[in-house]
Amino acid sequence: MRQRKAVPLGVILLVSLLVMGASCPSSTTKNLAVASDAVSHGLRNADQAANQALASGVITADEQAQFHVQLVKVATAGLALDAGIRANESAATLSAKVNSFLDAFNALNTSGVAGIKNPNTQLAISTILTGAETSVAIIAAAVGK
Amino acid sequence: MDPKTLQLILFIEQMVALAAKSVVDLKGVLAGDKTADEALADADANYQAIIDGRS
Repeated sequence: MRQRKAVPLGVILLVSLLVMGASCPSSTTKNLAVASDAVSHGLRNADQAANQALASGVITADEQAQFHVQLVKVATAGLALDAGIRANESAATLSAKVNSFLDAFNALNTSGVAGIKNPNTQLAISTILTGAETSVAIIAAAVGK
Repeated sequence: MDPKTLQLILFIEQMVALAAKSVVDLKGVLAGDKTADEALADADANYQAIIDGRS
């Protein structure tokens, strides 16, 4: 069964207003580009947290590997999304890329985080990903999600 | 303090530092004045680093 998007409704509504308020397309492009940049930083920090946890011996190599697989899926979807943003694709065309990105991010934020058994690492990664969620909501709002 | 407790404290410190860095990064990106092209180039570099295992 397809998972529902986990981005909080309030954040989506707020960001929708901001994005729809942008009257010129280049402004929307910049909002999307900056949102993608912000998410990419969060993902990289989450990756570093898992790597440090592995180096410290608090999570197993399997846990780190499965988390990294999910991260790579989001990063791959992010690269495709960036290409669409760069090409100034319409919201309709961009929608499929945004959907892939949201699906991958939500999977990372749920099953990916759940796969990390150490509570301290899990908390740190959750905190980092929660910070990125507002930017994910900007991307979702751009195509009316 | 026994070594195991010290190791745990150091690890938690690392995690807190990373979470804090993430907030600073986020603030820097959102408050920054990058152009769309610059932001996309930075995002691509981060995504690619994750894919390549260079985080």
